[in-house]
Amino acid sequence: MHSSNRGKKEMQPNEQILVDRFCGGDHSAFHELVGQYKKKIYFLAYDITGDHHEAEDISQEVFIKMFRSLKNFRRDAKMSSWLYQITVNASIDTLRKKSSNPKSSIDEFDQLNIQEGIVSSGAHNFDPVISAESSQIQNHISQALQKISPKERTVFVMRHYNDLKLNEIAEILNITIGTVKSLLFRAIKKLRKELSSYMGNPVLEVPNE
Amino acid sequence: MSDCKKCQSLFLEAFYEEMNAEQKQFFKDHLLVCEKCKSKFKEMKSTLQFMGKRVRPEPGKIFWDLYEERLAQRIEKEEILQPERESWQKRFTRTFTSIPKWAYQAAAALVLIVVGIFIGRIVFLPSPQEFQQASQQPGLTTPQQPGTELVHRTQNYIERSKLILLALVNFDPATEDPYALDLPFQQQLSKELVKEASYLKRELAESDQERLGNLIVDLERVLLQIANLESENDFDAIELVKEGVNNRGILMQINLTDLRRSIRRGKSSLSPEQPSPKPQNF
Repeated sequence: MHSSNRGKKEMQPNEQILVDRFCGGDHSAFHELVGQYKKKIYFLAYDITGDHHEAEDISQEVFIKMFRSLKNFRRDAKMSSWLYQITVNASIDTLRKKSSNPKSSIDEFDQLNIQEGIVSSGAHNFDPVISAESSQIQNHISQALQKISPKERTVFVMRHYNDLKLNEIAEILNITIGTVKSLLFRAIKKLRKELSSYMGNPVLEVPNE
Repeated sequence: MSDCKKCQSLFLEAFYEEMNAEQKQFFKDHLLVCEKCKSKFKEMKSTLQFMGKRVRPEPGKIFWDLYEERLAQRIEKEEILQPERESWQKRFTRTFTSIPKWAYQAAAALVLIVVGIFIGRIVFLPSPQEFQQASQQPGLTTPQQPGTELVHRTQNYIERSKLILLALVNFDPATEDPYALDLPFQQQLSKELVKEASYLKRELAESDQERLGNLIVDLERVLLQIANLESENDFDAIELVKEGVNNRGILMQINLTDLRRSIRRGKSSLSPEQPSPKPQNF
């Protein structure tokens, strides 16, 4: 799931062109930008909130903010960092609002799609036993993720599932790399503790790469 | 920094392949000689690999195909609402700018007069008891008047309580040293005043001084809260007491009592015993 080195996050030349086109009144440029970022923003919001509907709502909010502020967007700023920043803030706000009314960590939509995802991913031939085991793993991982603090989860999912480098995370969250690493270490330690019983299970053991 | 610490601080960079060549070499060399770091890294790696088994639920093609349409609808809706709100504001501004300036001035003057009359009636109108007392003793205020001693004691009680309340209400923990408040001393005073309140309440009730009696009851509650504060650093409890004082309008009530007293004093200074500077013609 984690990736190796990726390209730098500076505003890409084509992004600059799109922003210029949008400023010149060409709204199709906005749709191209949305197309470029919609999955990244949706999945980051999903990873933090653990809720499909919230993730869609947050991602749309992010693009509405982008639509309103694109004309004033600084050329030296990084578009991706700016969008991720809005996403993280909106997601954490949503979690804060939801904390008084907690929902189960995994909803019916997720449950259904996890099953479909496993089947359609081709990772396994469709075997009901394997599918049930995988579904169980997904549940355990989702529950473990919900048990760590929102800050730890945010940093963890940004690095582990969204391929953002440590320095990029530090820049987006406006914290030092040391703090990012410390939050990540804490998150991993807690996740290990949460998953220790399942990770000890030979059926679930991850083969060494 | 010891080699182990340095190595462990590079665990994340090592797992996510973010090390430079020098760090890579150091990390590799250290793991060859340090079993402890090697096993710790293996442990972290296995956790991260297990977490890597997570499959994100894919919302599906239809969701993504219609995503931009839904977004466009939402933007359109919000952009439509905006001009509506603006036009409503414009309408509001236009309506109010069309009214002549003198109309506003007249309305403001009228409101001020009404408010003034209202405040005057509330603040300066004597209570029925006071009115009755005054009518029973026309123009005379003798020091031996029955109940005067009780009123005097009550005023004294209110003055002492007021000092404690003012000290607490004006105390700002963000800018002042908590020791400057001298809470233990204030608590001691509060305890004494709480004891005194029980006698006063009874006596005031017997002499039909309902308003003063109510004020003493309110003061007693707040003083009891102060006396029961557990620590001088319990700022939350202090804030609660402040809120109680504000919500019950205790300082306002005290000020009104003072005001009434000063008015009575003013009246008594004009009584026949002390001749007024200009004798009235009848």
